[in-house]
Amino acid sequence: MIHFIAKRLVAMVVMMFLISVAAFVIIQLPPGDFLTTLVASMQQGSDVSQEQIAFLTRRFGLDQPLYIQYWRWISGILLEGDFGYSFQWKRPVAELIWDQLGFTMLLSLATLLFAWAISFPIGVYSAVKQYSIGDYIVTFIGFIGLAIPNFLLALVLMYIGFRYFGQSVGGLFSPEYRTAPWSWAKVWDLISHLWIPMIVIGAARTAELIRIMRANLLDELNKPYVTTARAKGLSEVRLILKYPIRIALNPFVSTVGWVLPSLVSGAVIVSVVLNLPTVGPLLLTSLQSQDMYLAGGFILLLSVLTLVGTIVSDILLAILDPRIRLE
Amino acid sequence: MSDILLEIRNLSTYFETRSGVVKAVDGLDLTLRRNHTMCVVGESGSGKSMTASSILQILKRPGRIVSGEMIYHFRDGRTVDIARLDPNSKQMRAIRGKYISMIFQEPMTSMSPVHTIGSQISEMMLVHEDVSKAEAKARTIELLTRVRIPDAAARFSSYPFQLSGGMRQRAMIAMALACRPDLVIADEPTTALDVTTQANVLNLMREIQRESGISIMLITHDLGVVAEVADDVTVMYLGRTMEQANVFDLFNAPKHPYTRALLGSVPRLDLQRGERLTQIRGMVPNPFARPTGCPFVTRCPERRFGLCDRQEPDLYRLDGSTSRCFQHDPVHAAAWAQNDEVLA
Amino acid sequence: MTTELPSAVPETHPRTKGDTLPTVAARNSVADDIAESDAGTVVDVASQWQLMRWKFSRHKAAVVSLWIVAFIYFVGAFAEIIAPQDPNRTSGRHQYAPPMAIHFFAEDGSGFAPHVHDYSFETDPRTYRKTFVEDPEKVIPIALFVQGDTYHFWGLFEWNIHLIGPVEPRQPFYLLGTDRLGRDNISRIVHGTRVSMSIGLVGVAVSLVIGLILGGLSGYYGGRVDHAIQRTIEFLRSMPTIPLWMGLAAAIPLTWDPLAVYFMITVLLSLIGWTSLARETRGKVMSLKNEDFVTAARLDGVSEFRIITRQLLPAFMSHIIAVTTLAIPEMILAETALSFLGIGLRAPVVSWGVLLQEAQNVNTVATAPWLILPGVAVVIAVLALNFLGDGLRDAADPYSHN
Repeated sequence: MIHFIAKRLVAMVVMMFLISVAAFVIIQLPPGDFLTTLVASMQQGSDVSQEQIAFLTRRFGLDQPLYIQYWRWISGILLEGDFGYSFQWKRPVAELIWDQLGFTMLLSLATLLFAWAISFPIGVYSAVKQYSIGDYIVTFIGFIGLAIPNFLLALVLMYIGFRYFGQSVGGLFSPEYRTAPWSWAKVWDLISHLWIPMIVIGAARTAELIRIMRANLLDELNKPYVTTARAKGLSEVRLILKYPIRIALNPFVSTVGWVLPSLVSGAVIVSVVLNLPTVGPLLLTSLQSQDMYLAGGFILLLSVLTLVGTIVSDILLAILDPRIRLE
Repeated sequence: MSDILLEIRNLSTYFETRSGVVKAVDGLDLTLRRNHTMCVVGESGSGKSMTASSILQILKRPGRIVSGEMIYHFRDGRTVDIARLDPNSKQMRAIRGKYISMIFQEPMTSMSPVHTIGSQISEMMLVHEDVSKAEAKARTIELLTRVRIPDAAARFSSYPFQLSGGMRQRAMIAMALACRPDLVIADEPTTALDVTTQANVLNLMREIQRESGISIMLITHDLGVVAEVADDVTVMYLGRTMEQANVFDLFNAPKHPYTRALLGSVPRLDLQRGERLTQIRGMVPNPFARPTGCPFVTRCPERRFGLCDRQEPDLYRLDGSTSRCFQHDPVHAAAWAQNDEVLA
Repeated sequence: MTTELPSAVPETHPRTKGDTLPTVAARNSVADDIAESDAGTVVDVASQWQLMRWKFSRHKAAVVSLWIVAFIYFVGAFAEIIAPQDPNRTSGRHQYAPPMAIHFFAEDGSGFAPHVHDYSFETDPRTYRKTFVEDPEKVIPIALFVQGDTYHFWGLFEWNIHLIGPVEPRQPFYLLGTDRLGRDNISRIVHGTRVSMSIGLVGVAVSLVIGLILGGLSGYYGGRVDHAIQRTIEFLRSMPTIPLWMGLAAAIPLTWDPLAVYFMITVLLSLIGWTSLARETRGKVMSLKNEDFVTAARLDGVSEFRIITRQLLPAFMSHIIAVTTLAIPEMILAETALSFLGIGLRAPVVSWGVLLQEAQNVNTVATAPWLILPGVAVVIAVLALNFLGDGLRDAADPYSHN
């Protein structure tokens, strides 16, 4: 077990390094450098002198080779928590990032739990009652769920809310709580707003998880150990709960590895439509205005948090499955 | 207490599939004696395993028992017709594991990979008997010791993949014995094991039978195993009993042409140099296209035309054994003997 | 079963010399017929493709989907003709005009005369908002194959015939309404079909090439090559794709030619898309490379390249086709999402995602719900491709029973 976790952690560190390089490359990609953008925006107000440009170039190390620039950037993040400077907001990136990132992760995790909670029983039902009418309905809805882009679902839900209930469904808080300090009432308000984005972001993945759960369980239901359990005299409900479902749970849990990244992706898009205070809108504007340190910081942290989620699910899987734990 | 434990009469188990009805067991007769070992032999597809699944009513969909009876005699003299019980009923569940238990072919896949050996064995006691967990654990360790698993107390919390094949099958046997059943059905328990382990496992089963007086129904296609452990033998073909006899009669004086054909295809030490093993010609017919008349007619070296391909022979009672062939039918025997049109 | 067999029926289980049984004589008896047909002397031979076709045709949803997909690609291919007008033609008078209904018979009962009604404008006395009302007085006759806006068909020649349209060119004819600039919604959706559906194809083609090569190498050689490729795949898959794509897509210079942007976006989508294809290929190659027929070829001294192209590829091609079909909808969804956010394809290119950009906020959707229709096109296309891929996958696996 310790060996297994250690191996995963080493792999994670390597992955994080690669992710940071990827994020840095993205920062560097736009033509010219951010200084061009900065100078352009500064020039609108006042004149910028050559000395100022030279000073900024030195300050951000733009005259250095790329690997040194990378090193300055990553060491700043690791050692001082300094993610660079947002030119659009004229504030350090670190100040801007954490709130939005917190909400994004909250939303993604809540959606993950929601997707699990929904897909697990439905997948089990659909497998145990294979070829029943219920199974066909579930399968069909699943196909549709996979085919609807989540932002479209968001739009449709918003339209329905607007048209038939006369209310806007965007945001994570009611106006009166938006700037209020944290309280139980605010938490409750958050929860009551959370379910629409949860459904919107989670729909496709829920559909997919239902399919996976159904397929896994159908596989397991035909395994000899189920017959053994039946031959022991266990009741059908008890034996299905204890054996095949328990075992079909393992691949299900390990789906976090790819479900979480796609939920984070979904949260980013849907947030733009539903106007949620998560990474989405800020990332989009930062990319559009080439505010690259902000964008790079977001991409880096989103990826790293996703990675951490994956590792947690790996460890969870090891706890669940003795074959992984003991080998 | 009756000498007979289980009487199966005219049992039929069909699988109604989209492409037709598969008659996996089709009018099977079989009598199990208390305290004896019955071997059920036959080629692949003869319905041996389906017979076992039928007795415990653990058939996979769409299989179901369509007719026949399976009279089970309890120790106290009561009887029950298992065939009439609902597979999901309480009574049926009470019989499974407690009175009749089963040992499966592949111990690796027949045990849950994520539960410990101990928990899978003691579960049996917890389901059927009013015992505490600690008691069940103590008894499980005792059982594991009895099936000669070394260091049983430690093995209690091992997972199946941590044991060798032979050890896993021993654990499987321990599970089958957990509630001291009257009948243990073993479905090819040794095919997945290597030869030396096979012998060990068979010896263990015999020993246990001698000690605890259970009946064993051993399903196998290995006539060597039959000669080793059987008291009685049932030969099956296409879901039917072709011959039932005690082991000595069966090997010394096989009655049915199919039994003779089976025995002829086994290598023996007393075979003369240059003498060849015979092979049963053709293949087991397609389950959807069963021959009319005697099931074995398509392959029988002794078949008589006009008789075997027209009428279906009954199971005829002979001295201590039964055979499903017209040559043992008092009515047809004469006709059979005269009709010399033996066709290959 | 009871047809008479020729006398020289070969026996599948030849008996040995010492056998005492007489040899088989051709005999017209039931039992013999059973024995011989059971021995497999009469066997229908079906090629692998034929088996696949049979199995596929049993999957009803997949068969229907195949036709839908074919129809969608047909529409994409002949977009200029099928679209009633130029997708970029604006009309100041018809902003956010609602869909028109086709009437087949003249109102006065004079018989078959297909037409639509032009709008009248009503102004809401309170909000001063202009609303469109169909005016039965203003009849615009329509017909098939009418002359309309000129276009360059496939860049080959100029033409002006449209499948359906007003008899009198340039009269309003908006079957699915118009957008903010009074552009015809249906013409835009039809033209968007070409871009959105082709980006799926091109993207998958790129992914397929990369996936086949890397997956094949990974599975065939194993060891260190495999390790390196697998870690790369894991790395790419653990990244949240949308932020990654957003970052990369935003780096495409605004000054680029729309066609270049199109290809760049395709390449970006393939950057992640190849991983699933590579995984499938690897799995298949790994399971096939130890099969006896491959070993036999190797022992015969067949070259590695030939083994891969002649033995392995045909053996899993059917499976790969199925997986590829399933990858197209993912590409379409990804393109739609990026373009919707405004960092994918850009106007004047018309794709479903670009069209949906018009419907980005709920107020627009409330005024002109028909702007959501490109989304319906996306759903239908994705649904059909998914069913089709599912059917193909089932058909490609000869041992599955569902």
